[in-house]
Amino acid sequence: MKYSFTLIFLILSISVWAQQTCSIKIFVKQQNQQVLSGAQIYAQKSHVSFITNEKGFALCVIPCKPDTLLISYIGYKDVYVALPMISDTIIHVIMSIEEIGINKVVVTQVKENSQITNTLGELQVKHSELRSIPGIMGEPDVLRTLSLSSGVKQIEGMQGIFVRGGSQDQNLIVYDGATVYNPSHLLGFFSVFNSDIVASASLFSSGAPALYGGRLSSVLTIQSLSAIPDSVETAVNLGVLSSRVMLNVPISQKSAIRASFRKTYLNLFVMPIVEKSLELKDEVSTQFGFYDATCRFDFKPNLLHQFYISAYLGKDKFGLLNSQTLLTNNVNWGNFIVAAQWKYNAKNRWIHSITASYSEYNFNFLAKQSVYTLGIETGISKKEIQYTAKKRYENHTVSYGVQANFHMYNSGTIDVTIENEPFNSIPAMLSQSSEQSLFVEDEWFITPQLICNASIRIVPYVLLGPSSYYVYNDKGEVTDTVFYTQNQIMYTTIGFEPRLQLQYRFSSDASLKFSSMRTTQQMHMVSMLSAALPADIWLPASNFNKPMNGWISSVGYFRNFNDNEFSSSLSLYYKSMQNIIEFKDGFITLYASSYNQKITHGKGFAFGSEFVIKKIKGDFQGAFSYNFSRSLRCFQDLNQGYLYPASYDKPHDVSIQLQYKISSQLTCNALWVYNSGKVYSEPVSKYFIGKNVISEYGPINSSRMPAYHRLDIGAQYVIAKTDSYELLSNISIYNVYNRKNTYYIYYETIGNVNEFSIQFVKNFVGLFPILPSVSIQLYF
Amino acid sequence: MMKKNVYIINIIIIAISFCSVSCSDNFTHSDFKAGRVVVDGSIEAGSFAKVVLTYSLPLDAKIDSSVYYDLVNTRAKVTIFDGEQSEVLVLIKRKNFFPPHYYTTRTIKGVPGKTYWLEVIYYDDTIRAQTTIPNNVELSKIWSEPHVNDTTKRYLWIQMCDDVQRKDYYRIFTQIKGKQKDFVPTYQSAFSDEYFNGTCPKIMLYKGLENFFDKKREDTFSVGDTVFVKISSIDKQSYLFWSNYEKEVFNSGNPFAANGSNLTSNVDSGIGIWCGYASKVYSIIIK
Repeated sequence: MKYSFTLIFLILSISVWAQQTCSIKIFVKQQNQQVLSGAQIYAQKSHVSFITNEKGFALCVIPCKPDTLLISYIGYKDVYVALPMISDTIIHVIMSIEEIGINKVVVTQVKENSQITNTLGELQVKHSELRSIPGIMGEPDVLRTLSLSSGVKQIEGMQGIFVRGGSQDQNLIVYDGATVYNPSHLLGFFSVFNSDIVASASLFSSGAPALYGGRLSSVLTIQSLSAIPDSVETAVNLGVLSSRVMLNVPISQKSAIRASFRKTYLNLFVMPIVEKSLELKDEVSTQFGFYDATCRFDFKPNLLHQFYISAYLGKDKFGLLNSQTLLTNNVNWGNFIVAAQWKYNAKNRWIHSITASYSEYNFNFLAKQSVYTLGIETGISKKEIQYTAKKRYENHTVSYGVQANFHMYNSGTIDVTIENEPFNSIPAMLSQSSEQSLFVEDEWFITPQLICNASIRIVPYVLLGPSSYYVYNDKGEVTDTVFYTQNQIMYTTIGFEPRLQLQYRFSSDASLKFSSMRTTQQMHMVSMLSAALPADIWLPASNFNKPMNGWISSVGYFRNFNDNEFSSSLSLYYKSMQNIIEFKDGFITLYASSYNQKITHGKGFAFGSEFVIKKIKGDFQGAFSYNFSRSLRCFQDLNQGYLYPASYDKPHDVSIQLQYKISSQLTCNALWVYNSGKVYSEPVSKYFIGKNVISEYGPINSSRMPAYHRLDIGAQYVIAKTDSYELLSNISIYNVYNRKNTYYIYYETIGNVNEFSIQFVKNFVGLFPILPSVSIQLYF
Repeated sequence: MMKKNVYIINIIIIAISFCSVSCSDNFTHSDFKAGRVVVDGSIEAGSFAKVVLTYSLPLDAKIDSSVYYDLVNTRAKVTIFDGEQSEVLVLIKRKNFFPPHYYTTRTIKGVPGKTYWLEVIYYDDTIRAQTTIPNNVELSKIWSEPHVNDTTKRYLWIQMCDDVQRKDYYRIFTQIKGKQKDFVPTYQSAFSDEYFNGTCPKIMLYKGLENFFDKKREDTFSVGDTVFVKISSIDKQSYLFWSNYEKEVFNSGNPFAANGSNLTSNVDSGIGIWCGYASKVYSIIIK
């Protein structure tokens, strides 16, 4: 008898143990079958929560006991579902919009406790968050919004972003699956991403998915809107300094095409201010403008297949005229990208994706004076095809993929003409490389609290001819030229990139995360000029300039409070970088084939701590962040081999954001930023050669400009809102208290040598003073 | 209790972060300072050597005649060796030049193809440099062409032929007779033959800056002027110095193209230049 009781007890125990957790698969969609990414699923009694992924899917492992699931998404009506007590149940949830009005995507800020469950180092920005900070000249911007987050820096007057001590070229920026090489317009003030069509942006400063690789520091993926509207949607924005228009047209219930266009007209107001700030001579006048255009076609025949083609074209143009010397400079640069993707949700639950893309970036410089014309062109292009597959099991999410790309580099084409006759003895430096990658990744839910993500990327790389390079003797004289024929292998290597992430969830509102990954980068970028203009030269990894590699490790603690009303986090990181390159003498000569003699190799490392606290619910919302970080470099040929700060090293970085929804019509916001001044190389003395004064510079970047801080304020007012249209106005003021933040420092020599009266004066040059702007937006 | 411990740990870590004041940026053990001896020396083929010694000045310096000797060094022992003989230079003064004092040889003159070693001894400091005078260079043609708008101005052109067998480096000077006391390097005066090796290029000359207070630089020459044009060949180290020198002089204050790095000097343990020239002078009347 007692054995029977024991046996029954064991069976019951086993069955209870077996039923302790239920795996429920939940798909969340809108009424128009569009998936809802970021919907929250909350088990009310077990206090466990989940978030749907980009496909609107969540695998919920919940204690198997009577419970109610609350599915919520701000702006949509809550849905309550009784928890099925059977594992492997699939639930399809259709959510309806709470307010019926204009059928545009109203996406809230990032899901409430996303920082608890996201990858360490992952930052997400949704469409609506772009308006939560004052826009510069009325333009909300995704890079500027990201730069207020931990570890991401934008420096006034410099292109791109700097992530955890890495340089601009060390960030892989992907737009709808295609690489973007220069993400900035206008000295970094605007990104190339039109905020009207950005659906979401995710930045991984560590712990990037194994799908992405090829850059040392970070991955930024940007998705454009993919909604198939019920009817034509239009958005028009007219501002004092720029305007943009977007059109979203349904072709059928399953397909739509969307186009957008943006153009600035800065020459009326901004460029005269910039000329004055930079203290340009009276005879010098400048012009600047940019435009960009996007187009996207989506086709979703059914729930199993999705297809899109997306394209982007952008161009910046800068002109300078010196009426005294009759010198004209015309510079233009820009990106062109096109990507196509097909996604297939197979019945065996594998999700397959094939993406093909083409990306191109070109920089053109033309100078004319009298009969001389000098033209310089640099650029880079990439063709890529990628296949990935992903499947969720009960406790594992497995993915793998292969990728192949082909790069073409133009590291300098120079055309000189004299009296319209070409000077043709300068060969262009063209090269090409091929890179493949294979990755395998497993996200393993060891327990509901402990998650491990391990992956490996293997990256074979080959540099191909045709090309040539000089061989130098000890005196630096050319002794030989080595030629490579078409597709002849010049250099080959294989990169290995293991990655590990661990995440422990103490509860639904607290987690501890660790991440460590090795990264490789098979290309280099160096700047031709000291500042401002994006005269960047992309070089492939080669025997002379080996691929960069490094390690990024970080740990962070994330805690939400008061039912996710407040979020806070503290992260620490360390990054090492090997085989980074610099030009030895700063400004280089224009003869491309002699680059290798002018390049030196070294290493760098960066470390820091990032603290953030946010209020993310309610009419009053805000965020405070403080970052301490250092980014240092070490080159044997520079600075006598001693460490020196990288040009974007800024130890202290503070930002305070506030947003207050005064009424349903009026929202105000403010942003205050403070960071350490930019480093520069200060002269330590001056000396005469002939009658001219020369600076002797001290250690590289040993001095620091005054601290940078400014206040921006803005307001958005809904003028009118009906079922068929919405009219908004935006007012913003950049640099409210008109601080003259230093952009550049130089010493001026005044006096007269013939009268033996000489003095040196230190000048501080700022860039942007107070800049108010107003714009009107119309959606219909 | 566990929650309280976590909060305390949070606070400690945050406090440590806030207390992580930035380390000193001075990672370099540097000897950079003002007051170093600056060498501005040259030796031309067929001429005596000329060496101007000055001191580098601190950034807060205010120079007037009362502190002349804080700028100009007149107490060094300067010696030249040409591989066969050596000579100690003598200090002489010339009026209406800047600076008035300079050292010169009385015996040794420049010879194309020869190397000259310079030694400057000033108290405990010894500074050395060497330069080689290359082979002579010639112009094949000089002429002027009209300005686009101004009939009183003209552009000055030269043509020269480059030896394909050699790596050559050049520097060009102009002097307007009666208006300039000395040769002035043209705008972008230093160049190498990497753009035109073995060819006969035509080059337009832009008038250079004589001194730092020439705020308005003009490219053209005036009709009626007699202009002396000096074409010189120099060695590679001198070319590297002079090309960086011009970037420093012409781009200083320009945020788009500032130099920001030290000139490549051929003076050991010092700053400045010791340059050998093989020169030829031509003249043209602008009309």
